[in-house]
Amino acid sequence: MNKKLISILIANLFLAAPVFAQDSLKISGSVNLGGIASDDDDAVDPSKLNDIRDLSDGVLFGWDIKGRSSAHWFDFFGENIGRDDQYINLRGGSYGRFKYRLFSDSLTRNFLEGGLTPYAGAGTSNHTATGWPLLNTTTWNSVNVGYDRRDDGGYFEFGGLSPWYFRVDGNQVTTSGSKLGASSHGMSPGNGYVDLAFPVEYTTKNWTVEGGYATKRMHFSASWMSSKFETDNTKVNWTNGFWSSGTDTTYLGAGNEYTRVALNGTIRQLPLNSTLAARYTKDELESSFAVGQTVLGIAAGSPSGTAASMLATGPNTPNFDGKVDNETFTLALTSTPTRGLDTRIYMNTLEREDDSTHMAFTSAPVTSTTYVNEPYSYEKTNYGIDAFFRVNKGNRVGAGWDYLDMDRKDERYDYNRSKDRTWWLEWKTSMLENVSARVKYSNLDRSSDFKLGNAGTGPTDANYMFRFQSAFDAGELKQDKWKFNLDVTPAEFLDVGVEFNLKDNKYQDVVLGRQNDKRREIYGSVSYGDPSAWRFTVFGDYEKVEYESQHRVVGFPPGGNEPYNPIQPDTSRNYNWQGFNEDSYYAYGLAIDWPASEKLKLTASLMHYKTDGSMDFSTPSVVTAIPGNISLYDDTKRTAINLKGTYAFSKTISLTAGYAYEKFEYADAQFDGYRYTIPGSNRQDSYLMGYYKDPNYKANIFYGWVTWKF
Amino acid sequence: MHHRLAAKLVTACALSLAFLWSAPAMAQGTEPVCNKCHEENNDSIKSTGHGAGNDANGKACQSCHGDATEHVASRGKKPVVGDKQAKGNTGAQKSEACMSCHAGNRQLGFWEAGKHAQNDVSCSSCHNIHGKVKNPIAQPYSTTSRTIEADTCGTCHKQVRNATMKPSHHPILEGKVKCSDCHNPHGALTQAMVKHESVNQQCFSCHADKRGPFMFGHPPVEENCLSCHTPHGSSHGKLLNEKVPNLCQDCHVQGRHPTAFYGQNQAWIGANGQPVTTPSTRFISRSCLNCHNSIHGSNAPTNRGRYLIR
Repeated sequence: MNKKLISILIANLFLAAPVFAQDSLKISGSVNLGGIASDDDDAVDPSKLNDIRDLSDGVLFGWDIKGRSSAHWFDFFGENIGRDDQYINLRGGSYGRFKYRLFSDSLTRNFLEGGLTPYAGAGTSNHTATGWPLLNTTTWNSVNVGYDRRDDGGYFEFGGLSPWYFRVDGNQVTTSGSKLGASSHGMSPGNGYVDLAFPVEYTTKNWTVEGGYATKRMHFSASWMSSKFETDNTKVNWTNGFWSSGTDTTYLGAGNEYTRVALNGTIRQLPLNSTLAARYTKDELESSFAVGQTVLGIAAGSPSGTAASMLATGPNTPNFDGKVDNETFTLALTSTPTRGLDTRIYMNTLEREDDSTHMAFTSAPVTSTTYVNEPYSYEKTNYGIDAFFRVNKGNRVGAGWDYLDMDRKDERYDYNRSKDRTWWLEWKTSMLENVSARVKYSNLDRSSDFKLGNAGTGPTDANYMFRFQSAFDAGELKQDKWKFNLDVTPAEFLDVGVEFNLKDNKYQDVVLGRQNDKRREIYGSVSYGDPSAWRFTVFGDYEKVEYESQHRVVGFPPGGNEPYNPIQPDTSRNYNWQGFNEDSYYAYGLAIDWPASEKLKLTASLMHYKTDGSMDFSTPSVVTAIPGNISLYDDTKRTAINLKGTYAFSKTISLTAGYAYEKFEYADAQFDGYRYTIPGSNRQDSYLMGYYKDPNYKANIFYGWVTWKF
Repeated sequence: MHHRLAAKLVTACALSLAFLWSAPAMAQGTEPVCNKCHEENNDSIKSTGHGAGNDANGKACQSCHGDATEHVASRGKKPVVGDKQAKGNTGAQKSEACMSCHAGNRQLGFWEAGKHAQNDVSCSSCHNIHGKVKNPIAQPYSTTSRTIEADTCGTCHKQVRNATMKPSHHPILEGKVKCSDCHNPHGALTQAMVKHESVNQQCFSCHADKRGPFMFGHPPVEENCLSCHTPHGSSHGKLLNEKVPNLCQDCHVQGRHPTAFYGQNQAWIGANGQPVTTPSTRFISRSCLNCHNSIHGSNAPTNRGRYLIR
């Protein structure tokens, strides 16, 4: 693809040049050449610092070239050439006739640098290790986890036969490296677990062909899209130290193919100044593979200490043919029936049909239970109306109603049908000069058909607890939401903006599960921008989210009369506990642009954020085990300073030099005190890789380049 | 691989530049009459498609700003007639000038049905036709010098802009994901103006490995990725709405280990500040995902797939 891309880029420019030349193309632009050096010596695992961006010491090279004529144009941009975050983009065209784009965009992901693993072959489809238990980490291998992703593609759009147009888009995304995985040692988490590095060798090829007819009055188009995802590895074999060093298997996503047809249409200038827009899509997703015929394990009912072996899984069919179709239809009618009144009536439908193979695994050696999969189909129907009325030049009010019917066709085990009814009101004003404000309230009421109201034979049956459970994504809900925006321009060049959001979710009649959550957010910014002098922006943000939930512990084996009844009084063995999870977020920052002189331009940016999480528990006094409140729960601090100066030696040559400082600190109960192993008895050990063991970093970044403008 | 690519590109650029350099420079066209007073504004569009269509009478200028005949005749004393961009005009009025030429553009097919048109957003709210200098944005050092689209969108969508700075975020500030990769700011028929028909289809357009169909699915995943993830940024890893195990426990309230509490005393270091000999493998590190690794769906047979553990 690299060779192809380069060839296309060169050919394109050379072919286009004579055309440009004929029509007096004016070329302008700049070329940059410089370097970057960073110091992250304090970082034990610098993966967080180096995630997404390439800060390694080296050359920085880029360009930004524009070509313009009365008929043609192009923009040719490149940056970070030869680095892991390289980006090249060529866009151009002929006004009113065609346009095109070619690009190559690279991205690097880093999850772990300098980790350890007892396995050889981490990051491949075969993790092997011998001599279990392997608790001596000095004998382990080092491992890095991360991948590089590159997206190469482009489009060509021909409009020379306007109002008809034709367009083709294509891109290929290649991903190579590894990502973090893990697996339980046995079937119970009590047996420990191992961290693994799953291979990521993906290629996704996408094509879209579109043709259409577009005028001011109407727009119609038809498109066909194909997306093919291929992976080199559909499973990872790994030595399972708990199960007699046998070879276990973790299955990764298989290749898949997605095709989609879409029809779009818009007709404007209808009666009542209306516009009617519609869209129909139909897509199909397929993934097929041979089903695993054996698994590593111990036959159900075997005495303790039995050696593991490969057991037949007993599938009802040797192949799984996954097939999901989606069909959607959308219609929207916007009108202005009278001066100042704008309305929108809309409807959306989505029907998902899962025609995947119904699998049943009946092999007694693995388990005495038959395991079946549950292909999941559902249908969403949504419609509503919005209306806005401009009371006068400075005031506008709006109201709307929305209805969403989610019919799960009895294929989800806990909920069947949900109906969301939402209404909202809004007032927007610009009555006062230089002040604009908007306040909006919305109310959502969701009713749901809960299917497990009669689950279990009685309070001594484990399934009885299903009667009291709730899933927050589908359960009954009442939601209040407020949104407030204020923008003020108290003086020339000065802008003040405030946004405030409030959201309360109350999940109805929930005994076990999430009961409610609250969100409070406030964002503020002040900007001053004199185009001929200095400019600055200051911002400050605050967010707080709270979740409340209730859960029930049932002893093993359960005791008491009604262990599975959460309404019963708590006992030391069977009891309810409550969780209160809170996340806070603070951020502030300052950015300044200062043209110190005609030749010297300085910019400075400071940003600091802090996340602060906690989890408090409430357990009954009869319980002796104490969870212990958590005060460090995804607690982070990041400080980033960036200072940059550009000095123009002449109209064509300038020098840019910059310094950036970054500090990241992380504290979390799940990682603080991290160890690579957790020894257990009978090979129930856990083996970790070091992910997020030491993500803290402090870095100094120096960068600079010379720019030649022409 | 990258170095080879870089070398090829450098060569390609050098050759292309040399070739293009030989092309005759564009003959300077006649400046529009507007340039006499509004030179800065004329300079800003000269090298754009707008400027390419201008003439001595300021045809391009007048097509957006209105009839300038009297304005010119009175040497600027009289205002331009019918200036759509005048202060106090509604978003729709301001956009009218742009739509008079661009309404037939492919990407504006659903403009009227979109939230921006509905909420009084005009073209010039986002598009800086005359390239006026923007106020600076405070953000960490990024290796890109490209204009970050989120800087424009973030002036109104402050909550979203804030999210992009969080510890877990899509690479938006880094320039690798644009707002318009997922949303169509020019109008869409979907909620939040996402480009695809549903949230899941939008997410799967990049995350093709999560598409499935898997032999054993996870129904909330198949319904809506946003039940667990927040797309712009999160305090929690993997763009999760809430910390794991709490997120999982909010639904999984039956069985044995899903219902247990996981507090400081189940961590590496107990509430008393002392190391815990056997921390809970259900809580430390990635918590539930230590075992239930295939949370988006599994192709493993029998109970290994059913419980999303292989």
